[in-house]
Amino acid sequence: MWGQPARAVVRHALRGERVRLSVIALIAVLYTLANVIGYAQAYPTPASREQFARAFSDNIALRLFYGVPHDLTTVGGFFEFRAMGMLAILASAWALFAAIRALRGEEDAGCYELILSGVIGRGGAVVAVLAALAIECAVLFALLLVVLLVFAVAAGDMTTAQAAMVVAAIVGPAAAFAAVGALASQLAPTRRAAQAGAGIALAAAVFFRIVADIGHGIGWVRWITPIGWVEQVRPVTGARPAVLLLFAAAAPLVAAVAVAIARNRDLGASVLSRRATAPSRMTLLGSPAQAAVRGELPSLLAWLVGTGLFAFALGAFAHSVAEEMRKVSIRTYGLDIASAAGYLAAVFAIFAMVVALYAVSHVGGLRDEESSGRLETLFALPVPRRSWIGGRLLVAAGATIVLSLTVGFLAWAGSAVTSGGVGLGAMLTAGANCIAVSLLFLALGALLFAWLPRPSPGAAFGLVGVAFLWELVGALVGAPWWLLTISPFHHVTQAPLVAVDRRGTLVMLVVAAIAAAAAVERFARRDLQTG
Amino acid sequence: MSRAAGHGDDVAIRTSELGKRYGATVALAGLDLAVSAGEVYGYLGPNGAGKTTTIRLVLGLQRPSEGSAAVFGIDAWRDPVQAHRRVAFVAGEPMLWPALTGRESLEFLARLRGGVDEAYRGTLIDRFEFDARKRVRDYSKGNRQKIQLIAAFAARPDLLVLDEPTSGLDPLMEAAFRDTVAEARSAGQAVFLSSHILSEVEALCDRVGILREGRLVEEGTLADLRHLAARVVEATFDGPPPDLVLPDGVTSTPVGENAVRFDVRGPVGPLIDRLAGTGVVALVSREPSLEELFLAHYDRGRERVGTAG
Repeated sequence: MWGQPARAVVRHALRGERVRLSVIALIAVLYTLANVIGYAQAYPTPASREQFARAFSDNIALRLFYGVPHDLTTVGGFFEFRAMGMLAILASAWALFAAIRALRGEEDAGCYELILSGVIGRGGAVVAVLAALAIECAVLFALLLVVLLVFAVAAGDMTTAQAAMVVAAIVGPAAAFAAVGALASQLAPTRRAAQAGAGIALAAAVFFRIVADIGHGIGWVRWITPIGWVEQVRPVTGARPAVLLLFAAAAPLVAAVAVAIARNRDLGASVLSRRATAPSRMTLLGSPAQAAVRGELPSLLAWLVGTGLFAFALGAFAHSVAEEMRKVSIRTYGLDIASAAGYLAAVFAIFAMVVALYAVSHVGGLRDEESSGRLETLFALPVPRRSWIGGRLLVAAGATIVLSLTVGFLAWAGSAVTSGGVGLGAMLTAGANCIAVSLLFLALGALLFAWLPRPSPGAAFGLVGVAFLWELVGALVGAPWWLLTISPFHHVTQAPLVAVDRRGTLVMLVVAAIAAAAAVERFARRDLQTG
Repeated sequence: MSRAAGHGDDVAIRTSELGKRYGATVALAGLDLAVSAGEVYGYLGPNGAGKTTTIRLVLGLQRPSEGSAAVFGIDAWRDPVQAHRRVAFVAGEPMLWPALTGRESLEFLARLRGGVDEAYRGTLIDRFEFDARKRVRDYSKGNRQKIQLIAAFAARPDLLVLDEPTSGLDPLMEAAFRDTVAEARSAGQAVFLSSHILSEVEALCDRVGILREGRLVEEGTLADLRHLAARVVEATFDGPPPDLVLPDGVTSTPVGENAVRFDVRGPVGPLIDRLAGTGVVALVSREPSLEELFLAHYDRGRERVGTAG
């Protein structure tokens, strides 16, 4: 079975994923370290840990984000609550999209045809790609285990068995969602459709986990999805290793279905087919920027719905959370968050990051036009380069502003539905507060695209990730203030509770404008790099 | 289309000392080309000879490392937009937007140009038997190629730059393509045709340039090139070929048991004199085909490289 052709496919898939896997692994390691070291530094004494646990054990907003805490007085218990579930979602999202890229993505691009024309069967090729993903999951497992062994087990915060179970609960769902990605690749006719379908499946899994954690008496809902199973393992606070068997059973089962479909379908075909012809719509074809709006709308809608629902939910819970906060009178981030507005202000940092991620996702769109060769088609026409990249950046900036304000508006709408007490103006301010930082990252991403086109899409995401992590971790590791201010997220205040940092915002906008102008000029002067 | 006032140069493409390096690799060097209005220029060369690089420089998609390229007197790199108002391009790999339908693609490409001859576009859609209702991602390569060809010719530009434009087309569509190029030429449009298909170049082109390792090694009309090259004389004998003392400028290659091919530079008379009375049963004399010219250039090129290295 494992002849040379299969090994060649495995190697090819590993090669295609190595950069993204490295980025995900780096983020996972940093996040792990931040939580293990950060907790120990922030709460060094048993008394401080007791106080922290009392304050947050029943916090419904934290349940929404991270799940149910079982023991917040130990590093292990805190890590199980705060990091394990988050890392499981991160790893699952990576594995899901990696599988679709390597299967339906390659098929869309026409590369899969070459593989299948070799001495490897339709099913065998899928098995080989899944084997590559299994190897990648194993690498992630080994890496995180080593980090926990060195920083948690050696310090006496976890046993080796607990550490192994924690990491298995992080990587297990990734394996399961890799199989889901393989299945989506067989069901959907295009890479985009597969990504949308599988993305909704993952979002639904997270949603069910949230429902189980904030509802009363519906804990059984956790058993429905792999993201819920993660919480049931409880490696440190209740050791139920048998739950891990669910991952061990689900991943091969779903994978087997995917392989069976692949074995029996035509190349390029899918279970869910689409019409051969499509009606033509002649609007928004007048310029590359108009066409970009056309292409961007479905993706913007997906981000609006996904992020908007999350903002609405947070808004809806804000009042009750604030009530609980008032009982324990705790100050977090040095803020009084015992009001709905205060609570929303504290959690809005996450939206600044999400909107920034959306903004830099447009860098991938720019690069895709270039690498596919479509820019040669465009620039052989009387289309000026400056107006192309300028138009695309304006469309991206406009979409970013729409997303920011929608998030603010829906957070307000959520709070208005449950109790009110939060002003529309205040929440729109909180939403608008995400704009400058996101536009800055968009402009920096454009600059990367202008100078280093090939790695720019991944590098732009990396830039946002590293800056956000630095803002989370920097203070914990005692970095000097000037190093902290490097991260643009440092200048995003907790509006509306704290006044918007006008000077910081202005500086970010000016830097963004300069970076964007430099990107436009550089792009107009460089060779196109196709492929 | 809109003839830019003030740029009165009638030469469609003019390059002088044009060159491009990618790091240490020399993709193109010292290229001097001139393609006139109403002329179909065939651009030949094997893979990696620098054909696509030339086109990218002529279209201003990449910056020359040396020299310059001008389209109707407009510098290709400095003022590409002005130049492209009079140019249409067909890429070898048809690169279009997968989510657009065929009709949307044609409309998009037309609007980016600021309008095309819609009646002629209709004619071309019929001629190429193109079904415009599908999405680009569902078309075969040949059909995507048709979108580019229809969009380019419907624009009626003063210059058409075609990079291996028929690589996905079937023989019927290739015939339609040849008709369309002939129409363009008689309308006074210039056509720059990079191709591998020598029969196509032979049928369509007024002049031919042959590129080897980034340098133009031969250029001229087909008649010029044939004049420079050897005439082919094939003789079949009634038995094994005799041992002949060949005149100057004649070389021989055995072809099968009883036949010999002679490559003759200069007059054929002396060879005929020698062949008289040797038992020749058949004698064919013809001009070399473009393919033979092309291969001859490459074999000589290889020898030169061999002796130089």
